[in-house]
Amino acid sequence: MTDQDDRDCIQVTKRDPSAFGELYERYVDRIYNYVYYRVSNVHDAEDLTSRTFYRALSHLHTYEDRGIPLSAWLYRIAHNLVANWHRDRARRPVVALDQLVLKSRDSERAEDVVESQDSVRLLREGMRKLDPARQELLVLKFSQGLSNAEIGEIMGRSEGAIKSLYHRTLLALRKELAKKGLHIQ
Amino acid sequence: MMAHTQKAPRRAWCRARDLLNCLVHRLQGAEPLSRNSESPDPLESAMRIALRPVVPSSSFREALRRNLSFATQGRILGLSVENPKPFRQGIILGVSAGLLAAAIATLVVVFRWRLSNSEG
Repeated sequence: MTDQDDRDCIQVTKRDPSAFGELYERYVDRIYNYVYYRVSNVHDAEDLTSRTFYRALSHLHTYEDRGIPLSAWLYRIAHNLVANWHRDRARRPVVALDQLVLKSRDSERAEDVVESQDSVRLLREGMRKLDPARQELLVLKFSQGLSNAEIGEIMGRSEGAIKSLYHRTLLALRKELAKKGLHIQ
Repeated sequence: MMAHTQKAPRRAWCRARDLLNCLVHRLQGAEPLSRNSESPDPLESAMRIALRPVVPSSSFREALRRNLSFATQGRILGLSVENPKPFRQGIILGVSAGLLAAAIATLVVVFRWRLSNSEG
């Protein structure tokens, strides 16, 4: 899906809102995926994904193509909603992460590292100890598979800044994992 | 406010320490930013597994698609359709719980009153 396709689709949707379904189909999985790993439970992920698309629908007429792709605009809406959600829940106990069954393995070395659900839980818990910008970076990089440049567009930073933040994030994550007894070298 | 001002220097210190670690790492020749894709960092591979893509349930997708379609039709007709706010659900649950508690309390009072009358 190219940016040009998105631009065309937005123009059509501005004239005919019923075409919004096309944009929804293109991005619902990505937005849900992003939100899910930021809130760690299905119920809130579904709620915030819905809100993202409702907000996008109601603000689509204000969207102007200024070099920021539609995907980055949607991620920013989702990011703001997630930030509000975390703010609202700051005084409440942390919700346990959903238990997911591993279905895929990336490599033999990774297989050694992530031996069980417990390792996955520790990795995710370690990630949640990082500050929100670092968590966002990890989700966009690993779950969404975005490049540093794409992440920069979403987070409003330069590619170099993302590269640097990424390195610091891995260092911080290693420390968090070491505290939990998980040493990944 | 107090806690916030206390956290700021600590955060700055952590960032400075991270940067220093990064520099030391690079000076030692590890070049962490230029690792090629043939030898991925085990932590990166592990994170890729821990954050493997998930997809929404088909029922959720379908329901949201339907609701958005309804909302877009509403917009065409000039209606404003919003995502239902979660606090409304809370209000309904709270009122229901309150009514249930009131009903139970009334039953207890009536029962005790009848019991005391029968004893009297």
